Amino acid sequence: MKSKNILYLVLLCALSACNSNDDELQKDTEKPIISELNIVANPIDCQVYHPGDVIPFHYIMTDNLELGAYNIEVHNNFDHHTHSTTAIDCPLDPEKQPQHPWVFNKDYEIPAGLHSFDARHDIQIPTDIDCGDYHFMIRLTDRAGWQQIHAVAIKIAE
Amino acid sequence: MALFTVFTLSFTSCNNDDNDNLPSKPSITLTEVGHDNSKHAHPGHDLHLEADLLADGLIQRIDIEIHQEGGANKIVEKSYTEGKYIGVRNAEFHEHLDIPSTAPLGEYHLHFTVTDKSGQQTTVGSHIEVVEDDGDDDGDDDDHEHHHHD
Repeated sequence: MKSKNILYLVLLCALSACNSNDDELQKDTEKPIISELNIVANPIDCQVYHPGDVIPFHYIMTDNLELGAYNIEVHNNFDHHTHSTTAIDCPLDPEKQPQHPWVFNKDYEIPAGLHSFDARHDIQIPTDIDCGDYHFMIRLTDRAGWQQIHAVAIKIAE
Repeated sequence: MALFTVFTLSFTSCNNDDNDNLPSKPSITLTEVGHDNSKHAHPGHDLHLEADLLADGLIQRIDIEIHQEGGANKIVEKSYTEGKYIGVRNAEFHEHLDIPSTAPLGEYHLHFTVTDKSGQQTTVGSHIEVVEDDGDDDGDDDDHEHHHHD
């Protein structure tokens, strides 16, 4: 009887052992990657678009363990601020106050279990917005919560 | 005795930190409060706010409040509970917060709070002054370096 009890306990012990996937994610120390590998990526720094245009968004997203989700956000750069990932200086319009700036902010889920994802969206630029300098932000998060940012400087001109 | 051993085994078999120890508390570094970290805001304009966030326990929510010094007059109260910062371990917070055109000029406090998924909270604060728009956000010379933080 006693040995049977022990057997149950051992079984319970095995069943309640750590979920190995969570364990792996706990140990993940690598951020995901937003890349232009083998594609013509869009948008890229210093591109000029016009109100009403479509931005054919295209990037490749990869992670060592598992991708999670991404977010695309556009905000104005009328105050000439910087982001840590902005590498290139594009010619900027003079600083100005936003009146009716374009604001875009959307979350996208990546199907579970993927190491690589081909992300494409057509993003419509509204017609009734302030022209000027904008930052197009891509935030990619892996399943463990590590986030990579890619900031692209674009201009919207009349 | 054998039973005792099995018990001990079952309690120690899962010896990673998430059973006994909480992840370390979120950390917040305010990198820019106001354009070029001027700590200035203008009525009717937006306030540029940037922070580096790190949360081993993953960000559950972010709460931001700006209130008048020595008073309860809140001119900004904003929470982020979904979207680009939530579920994230390391985030570069970057938002333009609207300052109401009715905000009285004067001294203010900013409170920036991050809560992780285990309910741990960290709050940091900054002094902010709401001043008349002088057409130059930073209130002094134009030609100083924009700071990079990479």
